[in-house]
Amino acid sequence: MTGALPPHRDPAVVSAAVAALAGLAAVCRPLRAAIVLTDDGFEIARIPRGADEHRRLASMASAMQALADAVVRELRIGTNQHLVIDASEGAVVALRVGHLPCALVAVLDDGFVPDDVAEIGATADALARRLHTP
Amino acid sequence: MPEHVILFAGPMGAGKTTAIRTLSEIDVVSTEAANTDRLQADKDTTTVALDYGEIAVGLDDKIRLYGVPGQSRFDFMWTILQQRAMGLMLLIHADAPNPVVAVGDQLGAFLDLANRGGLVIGITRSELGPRDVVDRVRTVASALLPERSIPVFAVDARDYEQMRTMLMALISDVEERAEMMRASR
Repeated sequence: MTGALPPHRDPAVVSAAVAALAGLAAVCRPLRAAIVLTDDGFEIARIPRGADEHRRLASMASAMQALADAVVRELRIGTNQHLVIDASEGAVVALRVGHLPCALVAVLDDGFVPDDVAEIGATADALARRLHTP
Repeated sequence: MPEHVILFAGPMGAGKTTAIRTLSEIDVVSTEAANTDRLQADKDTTTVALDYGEIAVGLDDKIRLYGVPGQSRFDFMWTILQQRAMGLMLLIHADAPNPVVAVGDQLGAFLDLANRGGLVIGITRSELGPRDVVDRVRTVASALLPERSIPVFAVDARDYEQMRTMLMALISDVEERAEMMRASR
């Protein structure tokens, strides 16, 4: 990330995020949708493209992540590692992309396993390394 | 006095978070994220979910202060937080691109609350905007809500006394509206 452009308008950042999500989709079978977003709620990349029900996922995920951070701060229990919403027909997993002002959020079908969450974490780590490398 | 839930709304950079920090008697719960788009607003952070503060009134009662994010991409938070609110403190910074249009847009977004609850408008950074901005905002607000007398203040969101005066005017309006509602039933 160069800082010259906002991440969601930086072609290099967008390209890296698109590639990361494509890689995640290839290894995470329950993945229904995923998004890379800035902490302040701008969408950098999303799969699948154009799905209307995920239109507000970036801003909602940003708010959700910030509320989770506020709870962690209030309770003084360290730092927020990841956030899971376990719903009756699926789940949402949100985690930061390294120390960058970005997050990766995945929407999973019901029946996901811990390995799927690990894959999401590995994808976020790989994307963080890529964005740190000029 | 019953418990009051007050919503602080307005565009990004209007001073909502600052106002709640100025007024609150507890540590404010903030959900600020790094502002990654400095082309939109030149500030380090921006609220992405809510701000929350409290003021105690007497022994048991509280005024709960909720601030909403300014950007419309977070409008789902506007809907959620508007439901329980009883009063709207609308803040507009005078050096916004078009503060008078912003007042109309914001009142439109929070019209349900403005119609049923209390309402005050605060113009922040008024020294940096058009000289007649307060009068123009008053005119627009009156046109949108012709049956209401809406207090419009030029305020500094960092000034406790100014913000407290504005808040008390809002609480008074909330109670007046509640009394009118009761009387009309």
